[in-house]
Amino acid sequence: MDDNAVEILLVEDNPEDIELTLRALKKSKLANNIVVAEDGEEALDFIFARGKYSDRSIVRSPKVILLDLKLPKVSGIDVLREIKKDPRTSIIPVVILTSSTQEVDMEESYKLGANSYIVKPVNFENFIQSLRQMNDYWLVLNRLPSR
Amino acid sequence: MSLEEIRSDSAERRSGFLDEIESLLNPVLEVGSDGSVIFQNAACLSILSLNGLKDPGIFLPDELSQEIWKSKDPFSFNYEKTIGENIFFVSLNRVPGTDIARVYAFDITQKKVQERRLNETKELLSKVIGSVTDMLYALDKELRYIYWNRASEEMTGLKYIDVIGKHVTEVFPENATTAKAMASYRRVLQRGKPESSIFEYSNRIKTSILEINIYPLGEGVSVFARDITEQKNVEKKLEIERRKLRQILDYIPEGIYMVNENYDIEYVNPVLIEKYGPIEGRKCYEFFQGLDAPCAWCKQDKILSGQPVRWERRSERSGRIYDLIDIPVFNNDGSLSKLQVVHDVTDTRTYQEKVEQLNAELEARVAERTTQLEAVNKELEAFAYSVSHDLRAPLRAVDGYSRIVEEDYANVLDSEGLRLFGVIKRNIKKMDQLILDLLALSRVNRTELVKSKLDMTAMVNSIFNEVVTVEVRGKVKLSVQKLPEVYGDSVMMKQVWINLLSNALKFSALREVITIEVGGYSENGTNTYYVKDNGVGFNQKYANKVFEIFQRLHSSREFEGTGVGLSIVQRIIHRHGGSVRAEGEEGRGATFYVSIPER
Repeated sequence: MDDNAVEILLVEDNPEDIELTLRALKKSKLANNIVVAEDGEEALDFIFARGKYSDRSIVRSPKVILLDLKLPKVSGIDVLREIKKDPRTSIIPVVILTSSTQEVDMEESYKLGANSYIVKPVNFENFIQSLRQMNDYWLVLNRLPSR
Repeated sequence: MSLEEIRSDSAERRSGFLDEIESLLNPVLEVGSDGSVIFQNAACLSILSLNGLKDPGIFLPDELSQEIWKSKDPFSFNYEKTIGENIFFVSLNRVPGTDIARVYAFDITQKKVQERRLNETKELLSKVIGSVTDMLYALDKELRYIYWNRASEEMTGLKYIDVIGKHVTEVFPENATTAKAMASYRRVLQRGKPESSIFEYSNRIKTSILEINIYPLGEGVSVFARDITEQKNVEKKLEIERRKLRQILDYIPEGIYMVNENYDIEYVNPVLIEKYGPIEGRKCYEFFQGLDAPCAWCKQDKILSGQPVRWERRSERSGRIYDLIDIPVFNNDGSLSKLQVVHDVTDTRTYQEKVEQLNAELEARVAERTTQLEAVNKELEAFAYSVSHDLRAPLRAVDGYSRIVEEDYANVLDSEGLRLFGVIKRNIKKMDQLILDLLALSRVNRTELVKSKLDMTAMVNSIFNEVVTVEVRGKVKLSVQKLPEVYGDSVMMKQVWINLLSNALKFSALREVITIEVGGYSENGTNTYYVKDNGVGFNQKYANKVFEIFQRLHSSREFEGTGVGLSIVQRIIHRHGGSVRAEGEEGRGATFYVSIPER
């Protein structure tokens, strides 16, 4: 495994949520290499190695993407659609991470090929619990097919 | 003259007499006192020979006493004798001063037959007259009764013998009716022409109406009287009915008229006369339209085929709209008349148009409102979305950073500081629950119902196991009756049971034994379900408040809650077209009822 490989791409615009999520992930020793994109456009730039990430290689894709739905510029749903549309990225597991309990979102996300859906609980401990479960599944158990 | 003297009478004189007798066509014979036949003429002989007889004594009486000859007095006998088929009137007379009787026989056969026939005719006539059940009587020219039949006896109660030969005024009281009758009799007598009139005759029992026909009868009159009381009553009824019908036609606000096949007006009711003027033998098209030929739109063809027609027409002249009903009426002579009912529906049509216009406007307004509502709904959806997303995010931050402070600065905080953080976290939790409940409530309003047949008994049992916590499971006594099935939205109905059952558990939590009873019944197409607990209950005067949003009857210190759960129940039941109610008593438990249509 490449040490520099990005383990998690966190797409989140809320700075507090970013801080809390990073703290939770790190404190639980869940992931070492976490990249944060603060809007949909940046996320797509990173994933498809363009814009300020044009020197990146597209094949070194993150092992999992934590995607908030409510994002500036390009919405989370659109980001998801782009990822799943492109055969080079469609295989990356995407976990929808949002505070929305709206069923329309959930349905829409699954339709577009989201792999999991986590409603961010207010209670921080519950959130950590959710993240850990997510991590166990997508980073430990769910191996990507080797390229 | 003695017998001998006669015998010896001048032959000349006697022979001349006998010659005369001989020539007579009637049988004549002479017999002596000793019974011997002295003479018989040719007619006598021919009658006898015609009947194969010889003895002319057959013309003599059956017994002729010898005594009568003893005196010299003349005698005479008249009698009838039948010889063969002939009947004879026989006269036997003593020839004066002699002992000879001369017998003359006259053939009266013809007369007898006529007499018998006459009698027979008389009998028949009296039978015929007797069979007549109408009054029949006759009066002579003096107005005295000469005939009075049985029906007359029955009608008047006056017997034949009490009437015959008496004058009208001796039989009937002198009153107006009698005077009128007598005047009629006299007119017929005078003019010799029959007359008819109607009389009212009253005896002690009843009044009858008599139709009297008086016929001249030679020197008198015959009267034929018939009781027409019954017939008159029927006629009177018919007349009354006719009058009623006419009244209906006269007072009916609709125009009604009748025309024959030639468009001649046979009847027009007053409404139409008032509007169009007198009929004056005009044709219908002249009367109504002022045309000189039948109207182009006339439905006469249909009527002539015997079919009623209902149609509508807008008059070009008046601009009014008429609902017309044409009814064929069959006449006795086989022709058809048209009865038309004219109903002015202009106002009705105008109202209808107005109503339709208003309806259209209303529909447009409803559509507009619906669009507005849909827009509002969309806004609401967006609002709910941001509530769930944007309100929860800062809450999450508050919670998260509180924990960071607790974890990273635990050594700087005293126990009071830690207690205060506890208060913050408890309130965060509460606010989060409030937001989630609000979202659930808004979802109930927005989500479309998907109905299916629901096994409520199974649903209650499975949900109870989901909502009951480990801590209280041991002390709960749940009884679930067989609940009627219902058509409803499965997700929403589950929410109803979750809320009702968790409510019951929550408010009974302090009891040593929690008793929860779930029941239901079907009545007039409506299913009612209830959940009864033995919890803290509530005051019945607040029964309506329990379903109001954010309305709580207990403090948060006693029982946690946001006051949204029962509101959600109410919304779901209302969306199913049902109703909710609650019964409670402080300290003695509560019962919540939900009623929803079976389908």
